[in-house]
Amino acid sequence: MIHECLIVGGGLAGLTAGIRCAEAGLKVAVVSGGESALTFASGSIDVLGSIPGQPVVRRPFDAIDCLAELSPGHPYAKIGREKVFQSLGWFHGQMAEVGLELGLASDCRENQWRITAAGSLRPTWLSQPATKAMPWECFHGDGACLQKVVFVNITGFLDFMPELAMCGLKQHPSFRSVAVEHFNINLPLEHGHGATADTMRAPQLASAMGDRDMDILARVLSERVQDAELVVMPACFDPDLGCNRLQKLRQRTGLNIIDIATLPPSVHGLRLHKALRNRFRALGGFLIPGTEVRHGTVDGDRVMSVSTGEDLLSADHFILASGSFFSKGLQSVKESMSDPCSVQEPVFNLDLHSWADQPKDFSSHQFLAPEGQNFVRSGVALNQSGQPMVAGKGLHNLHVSGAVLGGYDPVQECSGGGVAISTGWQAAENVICQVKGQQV
Amino acid sequence: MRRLEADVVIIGGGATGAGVFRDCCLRGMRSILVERNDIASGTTGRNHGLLHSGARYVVTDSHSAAECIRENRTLKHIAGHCIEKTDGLFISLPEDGLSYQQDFINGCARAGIPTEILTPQQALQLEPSVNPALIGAVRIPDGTIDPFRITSANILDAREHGGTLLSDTKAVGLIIRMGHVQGIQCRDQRTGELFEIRARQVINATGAWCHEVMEYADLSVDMYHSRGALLIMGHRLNGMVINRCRKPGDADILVPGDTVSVIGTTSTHVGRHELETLEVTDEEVRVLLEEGSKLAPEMMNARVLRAYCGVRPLVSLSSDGSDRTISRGLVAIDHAESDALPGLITITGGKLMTYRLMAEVATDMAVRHLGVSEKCSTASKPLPGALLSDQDKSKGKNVQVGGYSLADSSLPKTVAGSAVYRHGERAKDFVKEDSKWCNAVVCECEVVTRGEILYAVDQLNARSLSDLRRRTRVGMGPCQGEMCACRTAGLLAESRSDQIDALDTLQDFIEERWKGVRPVLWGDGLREAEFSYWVQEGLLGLGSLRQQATCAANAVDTTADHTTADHTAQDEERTA
Ligand SMILES: Cc1cc2nc3c(=O)[nH]c(=O)nc-3n(C[C@H](O)[C@H](O)[C@H](O)COP(=O)(O)OP(=O)(O)OC[C@H]3O[C@@H](n4cnc5c(N)ncnc54)[C@H](O)[C@@H]3O)c2cc1C
Ligand SMILES: Cc1cc2nc3c(=O)[nH]c(=O)nc-3n(C[C@H](O)[C@H](O)[C@H](O)COP(=O)(O)OP(=O)(O)OC[C@H]3O[C@@H](n4cnc5c(N)ncnc54)[C@H](O)[C@@H]3O)c2cc1C
Repeated sequence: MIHECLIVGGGLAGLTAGIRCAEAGLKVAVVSGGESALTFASGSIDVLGSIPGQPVVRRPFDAIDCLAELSPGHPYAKIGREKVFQSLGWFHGQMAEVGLELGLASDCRENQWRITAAGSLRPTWLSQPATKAMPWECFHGDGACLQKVVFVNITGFLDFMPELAMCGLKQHPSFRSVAVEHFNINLPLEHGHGATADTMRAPQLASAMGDRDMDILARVLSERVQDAELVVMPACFDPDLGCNRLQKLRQRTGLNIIDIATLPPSVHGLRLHKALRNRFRALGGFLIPGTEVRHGTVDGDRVMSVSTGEDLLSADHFILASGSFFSKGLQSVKESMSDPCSVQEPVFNLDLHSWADQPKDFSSHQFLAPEGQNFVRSGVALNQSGQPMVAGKGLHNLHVSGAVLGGYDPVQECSGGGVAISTGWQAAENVICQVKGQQV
Repeated sequence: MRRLEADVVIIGGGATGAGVFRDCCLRGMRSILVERNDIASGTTGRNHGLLHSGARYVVTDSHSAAECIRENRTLKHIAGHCIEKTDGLFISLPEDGLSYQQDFINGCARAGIPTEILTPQQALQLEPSVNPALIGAVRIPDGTIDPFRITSANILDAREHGGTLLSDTKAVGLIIRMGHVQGIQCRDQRTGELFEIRARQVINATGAWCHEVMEYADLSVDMYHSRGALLIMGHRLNGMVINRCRKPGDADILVPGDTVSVIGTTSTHVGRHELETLEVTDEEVRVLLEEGSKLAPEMMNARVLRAYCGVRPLVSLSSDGSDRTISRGLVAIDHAESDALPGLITITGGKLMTYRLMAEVATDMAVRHLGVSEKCSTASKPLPGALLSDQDKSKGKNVQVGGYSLADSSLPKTVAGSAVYRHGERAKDFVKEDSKWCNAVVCECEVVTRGEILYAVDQLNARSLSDLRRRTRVGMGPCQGEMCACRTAGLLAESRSDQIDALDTLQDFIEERWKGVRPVLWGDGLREAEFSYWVQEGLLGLGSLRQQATCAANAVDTTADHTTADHTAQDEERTA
């Protein structure tokens, strides 16, 4: 079968592109190798939370203009503010189609806060379902709009650390006068087959919990939490789409309970990934999982095909969405012991954002450095027309999206999800435009 | 000013100081050990972990060689749980020729080190990772020694015999009255408090820093500080120690240890002001990889986990050039004799594996002055944890200790096995039938349980994540602590919220791990680092917390902190 569009990489960027293509009626396939970053991510979608030298960003789309001026090579700069907004709004709608209602701030152009398992506050744009707990005003400036927060863990579960979160939260100026407490609840874990919570990661814990566990939680929470405006629990409730145990727990207890990302793997991230795959398939997209693309064949300014080692896959258009280093979309190799290491894009050997060749310039002296890490900024470079290049020559039918792109720092900026979605969407738009253009 | 009293005060909690501490306590002296940081945080925690047979020194330094083989045998007996009897090979490569081998074998014979000459085929059969181009090999009784464990075991035994350990306590001066050293002035590094320890003998076991303590009494010593860099490979390449059979040079020893292999070392003379700048250079990395892969070519393809370096506390007794010609032997100075300053003894030089002998020599000096008649027993009394036989060790959980059988527990073998491997029969103190979630595995790479962490906090005086790493190996495996560090910080906060800022210690730990990863940031090491960065900064926001904290500290503090953040957790009864 000849595809109109073949996408390499089935993470957030690749599937977003796939969904858009399929929605537009294209014959599209996604080939994906290993796990995607979503397995580990918080599940919230960040758009833009920070620009160097400026206070934390409240209105992310408005801030894109300023960002574009500061760093013209940024992926957002190429797409532009309104299209970024349009693509993310579209994404929100697509997820709702498969039953995942991601939460927006009441003003949909504003950020909200995500509480991390270390008690840090990170600006994000879309939160996991129906978490209306953390609007911007709540923790900005002095004095949070809360009196008391309680962290509640499942006894034995190691990947949620209330003691740490409490320490962290107390460091935030607006939590100075907020009471922060915690306790654990011991659960029998109805579907755990005798295993205990200490041997489980969050997804296993989520599937081990049964109705009896939810009853105990509801009873103990009602008994022990009377006066807290916010109850924070590990994200281990709703592994499946359409599952809404947390919502029911809120109703039963009358408490404002939120579930936040644990250490990976992430229940929210996995569910988001499932929603993406479902939507893609529902629209007629063709998913080829567990298959790694080894090599792409380029002829002149066109990609002809990609090879998996066994099969040769041809298409009119290709989208590369293979992620960063840990997804193997980028590689750093040392040819020999005495050579400095170099970064490569392994499938097409695309040109990259230049970076110094000494390992030490590639990274900062401090790990958690305020200026970030250079290796995070490395990735594929695009030319003026937004095309990737091989040895300086632009490729017409290859489009690149997501974390494999260079020139931005998703971690410091809090922009990972937003860049993946908007560049995935934009890549699809380009393909759609070219395909439709030919048809006319 | 607060004042403590003792018979002996020991400065420095490396292997040497810990050994002196134990020896003094076993001989019935009231002893206090002060360490400015944590035990084994100096050179002891930054070396190769080779239990020398002495063979390396037979041609250049026969005295050291003889010391080594004696202590090699002693430590195998008293510290079984800290040692792996791997044996070692001295291989000759074509470029080395075989002429050195003859001198080498003769030297071993003189020093009493047993040798077995092997053909290249025999060597390859014994140790498949060895360079197949070799032209000859000699087998000798090298082994490996875990520096953290041996130090910790000495400290544990000393404390069980009445000794007092003061970590985070720096000796900042000597109390000298009428020509006698009568104790030390100390500073608590956490609180800043100054206090005194009065003692009849002060033993300076500060290794590479011993000149600083001597200077408190206006004494001087000619230190030759020699820095050596090492690389840890991501998995264990070799079963036996592999050495080059030639004059000692760079990167000519590959030592296996637990789950990894360590290649080293280099040697660069550094000034006394460079003792704390311990970053490995690109050039050192290059030399180590290039030379090291001649020992075991598989190193080329192995992941490098981290790089580190330490400074050898060598004393130069003549003014002769390079450090590899300076004696590796121990240097014990009784200042009563050499400087007419009674009350002070300095013990330095030597090696990790001669720590016990060094301790014995220094303690012998002290007892002469104090009129104690008790003889040294450290060469025959096993350390805590070393009561298990080799057989027991390999059986892991089927071990029977004092009527208690680890086999009673329903634990997977790796959990009990790792615990016994690291703590010997003392593992029974924390490998228990699970009532308080003690067997939850916190660090998967090294199989460290919640119980082991709590044991290290309660019994082994761990107060930070780095302390815990030294005592349990938490965070030392391939992932370098990307998740277990966070889990462990949570546990620390839970168990010692009175003394520990969990976030500070977590951030410190992360930065400390990074120092070793950064010089070798490529391939899978970079993948792992990027992932850690996403987890620790992207997911958890640890770095931005630090920035928040700085902002908060700068903001005017109007509201008193009257909140309940340190509430203790209580478990609900299980309602089954
Ligand atoms: C721990 C963590 C926390 C995060 N938290 C947040 C957050 O809170 N908010 C936010 O907005 N973002 C967050 N992110 C970032 C966000 O998840 C990523 O930026 C985004 O998911 C990147 O998507 P991607 O599709 O470009 O790459 P990936 O998700 O990495 O997907 C790439 C896919 O391509 C596959 N692949 C690679 N090479 C090939 C090949 N040759 N052939 C076939 N398949 C291939 C890979 O196996 C992988 O499945 C987080 C990320 C991590 C890791
Ligand atoms: C690269 C390298 C490789 C090596 N490889 C091996 C090997 O394979 N086998 C082997 O046997 N030996 C080896 N050695 C040698 C061995 O590591 C050292 O000889 C040994 O660890 C020294 O132990 P120590 O206790 O004397 O010193 P240290 O471990 O340095 O202890 C001194 C302690 O004193 C503390 N201190 C300093 N000043 C003060 C003060 N004022 N107050 C309180 N405390 C203070 C320090 O914090 C430190 O903890 C190697 C050394 C290096 C550098």
